[in-house]
Amino acid sequence: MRLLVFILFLWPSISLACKPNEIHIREQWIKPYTKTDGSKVLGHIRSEHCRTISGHNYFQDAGREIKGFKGKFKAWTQSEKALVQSKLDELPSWLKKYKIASILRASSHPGNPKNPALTIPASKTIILFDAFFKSSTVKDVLLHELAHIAIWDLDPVQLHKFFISNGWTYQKGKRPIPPSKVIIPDSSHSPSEDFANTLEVYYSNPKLLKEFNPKSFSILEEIIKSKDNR
Amino acid sequence: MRLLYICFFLFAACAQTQSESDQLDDIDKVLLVMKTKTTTELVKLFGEPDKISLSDDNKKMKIYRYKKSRVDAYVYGKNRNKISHLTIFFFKDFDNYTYLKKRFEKYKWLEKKLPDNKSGDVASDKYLVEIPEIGMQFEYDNHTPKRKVMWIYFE
Repeated sequence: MRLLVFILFLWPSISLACKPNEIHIREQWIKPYTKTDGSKVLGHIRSEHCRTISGHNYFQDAGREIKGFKGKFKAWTQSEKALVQSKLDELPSWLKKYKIASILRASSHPGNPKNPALTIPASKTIILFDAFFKSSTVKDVLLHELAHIAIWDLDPVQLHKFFISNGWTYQKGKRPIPPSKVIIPDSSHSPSEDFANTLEVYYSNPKLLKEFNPKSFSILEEIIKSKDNR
Repeated sequence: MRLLYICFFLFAACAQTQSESDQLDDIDKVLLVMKTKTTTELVKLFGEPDKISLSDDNKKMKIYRYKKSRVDAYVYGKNRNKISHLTIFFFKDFDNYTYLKKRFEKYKWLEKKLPDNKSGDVASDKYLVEIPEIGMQFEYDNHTPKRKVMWIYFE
């Protein structure tokens, strides 16, 4: 009996790994409603689940409100779409498995006009700004943004190892504390930023990362290998 | 029906052979360790650490690291049996916030909105949670899938 209770208690941990082409939907209260055939559905709790992202039609034009972004959207041009798609196709195979639910186009980042992109990991949304199309490193930007999505799907043991190797700590009353030396200055903003930057350097300048932190380099190699084989 | 009996027999047999510490999950074990804050209790529940390293802050502390359970226990350099604090890298594959909220609902939660990085390239909506009664603290972000919690701090 005790074992049964134990199994039931652990149940969520063995049942909710979403695939890279899925999106996680939180537990939510569904209000009572009437179906088109007239039958009534009582209010109920819908447990958390994974929903498949269907198709590749992720280029979205203006008109939608997005949680986490307060700017204005604009319509895509065909050449912009073609550029983004061609660069997405060039990304490493394990990262390409992480399907994007929507890519939106806006003029500029509300808090930093120099920023080429903004990612909302929960909804697998990427917003690209004018600065992105002026950048000479568009592929690196896309890789970086996808890393912000992929990080939440990594094996916890590997990710923990990566953060120890990069020097992150966590103390009382403080935000996660960055290491004194980081590979790109804004890495110290958050562990997720550090991961995305380190992965970007792993692909764009592997020699630099190997010299800067050989251990993190080999942990990333391990992570990529395990993801490629999945 | 026969299959049901066999299943029941197996469950009963397993339940009897499992020791009490096998049935505890890592958070239960951490809470037990933090009652005594001793390395003796830590080793009793988690085994010998995979690695012992020195902390960056003038190497004042030793960190007992456990790879699989992702536990890092900070032990005073001078008093080797005394734990100062401990972190566990949680990062489970379900809605972490909802799970922790349900699990620790009987305690008082102090939840504080953290300032957003408005110039960054990732949308965030972060909160700091403190449960003073059990000396627990963690951060979560509403804009991440499953609101995965990285470190949980125990004092």
